[in-house]
Amino acid sequence: MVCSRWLPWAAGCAAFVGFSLSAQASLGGGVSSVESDRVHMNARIQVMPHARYDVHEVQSSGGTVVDEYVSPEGMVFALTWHGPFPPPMRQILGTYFQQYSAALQAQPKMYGHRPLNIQKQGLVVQTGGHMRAHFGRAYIPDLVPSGVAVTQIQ
Amino acid sequence: MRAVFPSILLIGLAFAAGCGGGTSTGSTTKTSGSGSVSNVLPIAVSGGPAANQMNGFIYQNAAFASATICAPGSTSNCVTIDNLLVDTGSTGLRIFDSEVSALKLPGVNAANGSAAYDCVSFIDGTYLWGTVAKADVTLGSEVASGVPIHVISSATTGIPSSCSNGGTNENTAALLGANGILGVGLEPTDCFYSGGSVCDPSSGLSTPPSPAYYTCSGSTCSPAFIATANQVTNPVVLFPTDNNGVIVELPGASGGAATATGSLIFGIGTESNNQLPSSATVFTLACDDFTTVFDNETFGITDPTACAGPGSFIDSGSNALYFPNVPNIPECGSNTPIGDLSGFYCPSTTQSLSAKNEGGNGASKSSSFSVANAEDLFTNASTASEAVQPTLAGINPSGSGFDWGLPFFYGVNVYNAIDGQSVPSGAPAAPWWAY
Repeated sequence: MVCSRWLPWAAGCAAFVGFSLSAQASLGGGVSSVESDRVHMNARIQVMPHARYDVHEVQSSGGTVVDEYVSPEGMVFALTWHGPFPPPMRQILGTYFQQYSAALQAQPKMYGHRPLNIQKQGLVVQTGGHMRAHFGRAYIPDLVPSGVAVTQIQ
Repeated sequence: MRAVFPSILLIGLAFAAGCGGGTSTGSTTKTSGSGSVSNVLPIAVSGGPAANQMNGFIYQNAAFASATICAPGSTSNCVTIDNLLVDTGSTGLRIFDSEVSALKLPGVNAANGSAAYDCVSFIDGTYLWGTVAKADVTLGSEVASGVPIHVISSATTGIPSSCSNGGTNENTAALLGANGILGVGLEPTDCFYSGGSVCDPSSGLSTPPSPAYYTCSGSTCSPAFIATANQVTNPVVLFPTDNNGVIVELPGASGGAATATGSLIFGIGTESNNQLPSSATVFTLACDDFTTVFDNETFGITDPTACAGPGSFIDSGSNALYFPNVPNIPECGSNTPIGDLSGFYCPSTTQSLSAKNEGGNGASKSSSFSVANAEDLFTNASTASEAVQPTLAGINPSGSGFDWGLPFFYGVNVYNAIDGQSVPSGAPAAPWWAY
């Protein structure tokens, strides 16, 4: 498969595939599912260690990148994403998807597309950006490791 | 059809951004040899389609315009649709299927030969789903022939979950707040960025990107590749002339106002009424974003290859200024008497702030703006009914940049140069903004 030169995210011409609907590392889930996804999806995943957590970066063929923040205990406590298309929310939010969807429906009804700012005790989901430049982050406040500031999740 | 009359050109006044000031009354007639086409489309910040309110709120800080849509090649089989949201932050004309069903517009196919469907996702989780059809689109008196447009489906079933993605379908005027969207942004199609289109089969991807274009078999819809020429297209690039960008011109607003009227001018440097003045600063972009320095923090793309970083941007489709809360402005509560306003700022007194925008080309310009208490604006009976609200501002989460929404445009003529199109002599390659 040839990667077009002008795709900035295809630098290196790795073989990308889109997100599949199979078992997927998800918010609140364990890190082992990230490994099984990497093998199953043949997706490009990089692991970037930090002092108090690791970031597993999953890159889809369309160019959207999802960063999964994994605690020392091996739990995905936060996600961020950026890219031309929104990520598949049911997959990356896992058991938190229903809560997210319900919170969306309960958003204040006002005209105008604007950043999302869902802040519940059990789930925070925030978005920004514009068409073809989506940005977002989601985290579970209770699962953020001690010593990690939520401002680092971006 | 608009009456044609000469007028005095006032372009170029007051380019101190954000300080209110001059606007131009565009000429509608070019009298020299290349014929006379009106490149001016009237726009109005009017609150949206009459009587449309959501939860008691009108649609504030949104500019609306009309378009005439015809079956390709016809001048009689047409409809004129008003109250289309003028959106420089998106690309493509999107209208509801009920508005054009009588025209029987020809459908457009994906690369596999089946009818193409388009899914558009907005950052707040709302989405639009529908088919792609070709139409002749007239804006002012500029005519784009054979434009692929998004025909939003009235159906609420059969939409793939990758498109709905947990969010809300806005497939009526009452839900959208407009009769459609006129996307005249920086790109030629809605799947075009970084100089190319990943939705085109020549992109070399093993699977089509999602959520973007689809084909459907029965009730199952799957992501599909689609030739760039068939993707939902910026009508401006298909004008025979005046097709390299748009200028948004709105009058200054020091405070709220019931309504405001202005112009969307087509072309940059192509007519006597759209020349780039020397007082305008051109900002070249990375990933269709520039950099805003605000309160000693920098919000811009940090990795242009990956398009990562808190990029900042100008967008007439945003109804406020949205920025990360660096200065620690009090935020509105979620339990106000009028509901959850936690996405907006609620300082006790109106704050006067400034920020500096920077382009990749080294351009730099400061802008001043005010942030009022949003709960007061929405609660006070007189301000709540004003479509023009220059001091409305809200929160962009940390990790995102500065969103210069419609309040930025009041009194500042904003030039938007479209990717891949021509530019005035001496100007850098598009895309860029200038003001």
